[in-house]
Amino acid sequence: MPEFANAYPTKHFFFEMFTRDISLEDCVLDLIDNSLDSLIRHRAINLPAEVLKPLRDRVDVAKLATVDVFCSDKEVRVRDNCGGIPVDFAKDDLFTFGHREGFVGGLLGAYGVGLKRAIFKIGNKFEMKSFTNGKGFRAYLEDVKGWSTKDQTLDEWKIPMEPMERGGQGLEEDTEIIIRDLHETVKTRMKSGTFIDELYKDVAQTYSLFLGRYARVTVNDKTVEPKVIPIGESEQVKPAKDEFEEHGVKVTLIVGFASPPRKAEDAGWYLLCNGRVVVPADKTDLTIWVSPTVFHDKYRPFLGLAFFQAEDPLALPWTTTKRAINRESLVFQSAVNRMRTLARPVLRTLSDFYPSEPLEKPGGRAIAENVKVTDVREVAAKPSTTFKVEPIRRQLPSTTRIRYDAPKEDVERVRTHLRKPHMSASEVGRYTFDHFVKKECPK
Amino acid sequence: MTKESSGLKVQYELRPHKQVERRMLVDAFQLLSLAGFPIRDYRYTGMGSFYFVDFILFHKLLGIGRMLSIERSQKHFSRVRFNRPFDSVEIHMGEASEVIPNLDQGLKHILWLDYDYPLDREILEDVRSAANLLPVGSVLLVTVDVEPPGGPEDGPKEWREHFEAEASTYLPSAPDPGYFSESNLPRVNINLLDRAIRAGAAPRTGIEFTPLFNFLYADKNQMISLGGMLTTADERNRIEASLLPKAIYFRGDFTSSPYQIKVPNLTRRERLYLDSAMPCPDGWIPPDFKLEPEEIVSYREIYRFFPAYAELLL
Repeated sequence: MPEFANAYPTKHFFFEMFTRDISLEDCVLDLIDNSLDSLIRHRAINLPAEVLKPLRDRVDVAKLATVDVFCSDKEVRVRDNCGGIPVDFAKDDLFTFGHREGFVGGLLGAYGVGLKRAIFKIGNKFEMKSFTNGKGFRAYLEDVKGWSTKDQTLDEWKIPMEPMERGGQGLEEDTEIIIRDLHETVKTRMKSGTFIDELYKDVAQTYSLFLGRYARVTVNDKTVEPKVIPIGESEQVKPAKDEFEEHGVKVTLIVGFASPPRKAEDAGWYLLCNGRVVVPADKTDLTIWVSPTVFHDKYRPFLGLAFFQAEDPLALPWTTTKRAINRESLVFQSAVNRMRTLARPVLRTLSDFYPSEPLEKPGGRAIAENVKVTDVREVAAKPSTTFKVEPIRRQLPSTTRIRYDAPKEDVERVRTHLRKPHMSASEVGRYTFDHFVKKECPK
Repeated sequence: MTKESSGLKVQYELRPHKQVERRMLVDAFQLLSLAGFPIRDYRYTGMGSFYFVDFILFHKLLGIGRMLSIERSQKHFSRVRFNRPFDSVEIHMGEASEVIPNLDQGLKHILWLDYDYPLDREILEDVRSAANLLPVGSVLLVTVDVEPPGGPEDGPKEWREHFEAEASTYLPSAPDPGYFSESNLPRVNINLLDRAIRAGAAPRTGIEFTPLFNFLYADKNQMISLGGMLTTADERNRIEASLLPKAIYFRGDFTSSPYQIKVPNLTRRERLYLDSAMPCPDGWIPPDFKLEPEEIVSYREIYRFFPAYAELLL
């Protein structure tokens, strides 16, 4: 009869380790994901199928569901009217560490860690209130740290909940999470003065395809405007598109030129899972930038988008922080190969437009400057195609300029050898080049 | 080394080693047909220059109807158009990289990336894309020039720098000191192409690249041609059960030595004489004139594929 060694989880692990791998901003985004998942459940939005569909009707922004985020050195509060959380769902699933197998809950929350991790990371006191269909609950921990040290029985892995009723008119279906008694680390960042701006930018970028379509998000009372991914198009330039489905994930790839004005920091690949931007503007070997094709200033107009969509969020290649990609994901490995293929004509065109010789001004550059921003959803709705630039070949010059330094002594030797002491240096260069062409590589 | 079309450098019909390679490929495709691969319905995509020798062979001997030739040189456009041998041959003026992503996924393909210049980053990307995208049952062939890159004064140090600049991802992390020696350059090229193919095929679930060909020959420059099929277990079983693995030129892996095509210099009279004794037993030498035993062995291997040249006054 074997003896058994303990292999139980400890709260300490979740509390101390788990919170180190994620930034404060991403923790707040996890709370926003929770709200958006409520909305998706409540309105039965088929996100994987819909998020890339072009907008056909004008959206009345005033009628959109709202997620209000408030952050200060006193508290972090996220309040939404996205439909609320059913009591049973809260009881059985919302607070478990990780979801049970076969769980169907959200399309943005995949792992069942975001909410808990955010609470642990941010503060020592939390309260959550939610109402839906006139029924509600309040869940809370007055002392998160104290709770996390009690670890003897499974009962100590429970969070107190009390029912709340709300009657009468103006019934809202809403949820509010308040985290107080913030950790010193969090307070310091809040006081730094830049956190709110960083958060605003992250929200604008991450939910670019959600804002103004499914929901409105405010950060400290300021409505976040989506940061549009500026894929460009013109009469002469058409972005490329490819799509395939593998391992339960639908992948849509788009590459082309960004519309000006362009910043190098915005260039690169954008990787999105169920419409949420996971990695913005990648210029690393995670995607296609592997030697000898490393990112270079001449690729500044390069813009690529890879959309991964699945009904099972666990099939998507994101990591638990939703800020990075699991490189080993099979669907991601397939996608990278296709991304390389799709991107090549764009990279080659840019190399032709922006050659290493700064003296040249090929007409192609004007083509790159003249693209206008277009909605990625419109591009995604079109059939697959390769990157097209017309009429690139005619625009390219048939000559290139060669400039180099040569030791004066060697130039003099050529002059002496040719018995032309007054030959100019550029004539020597011209002569020696012509000589090589004639003797070594004749037509 | 320029990327000037080799069509201008050599009369295509008069490259006997290349022609032996083409005829061996025809032989291989015939054996694959017998093993149930519907080669006749495959689409052939090659780089026909303005001679289209492979197109003519594959159409006439294999019955392949759907054909596309890739021509990167704008300069030769009119000649390429003019010399198109059959109406069914389409022409794409541009790069292979523009064609590969658009290959019809509903067909099986023979794609011959028949470059006549040394390996570079673009070639490796083409090869990787093709291995990633070609439908199961398709054949991928790649030919590159394996002469030392660069100028006549360059040596292993410069060659190493060249390959590091063009292909660093696919190079071994700590190559032996002699790895970039001149005699090993065909091996360097084979390994690079092998790794690019494997990188392309790796993410495909249940699909592998199965090597079939690895030719080494020189009409002027030394060239290698690697090839194989995108397979599932079914295709692999059919190849294994076919006569192809018994063919002298078959190479089921890229680690063993390439099949070296050697064409002995013989007169027409000598050839007719030798042919009457073919296939000869081991150790046979012609009693009426002197040839080295190795030349007889070479001839026995290739006589079926050896083109006959004669002057035609038309």
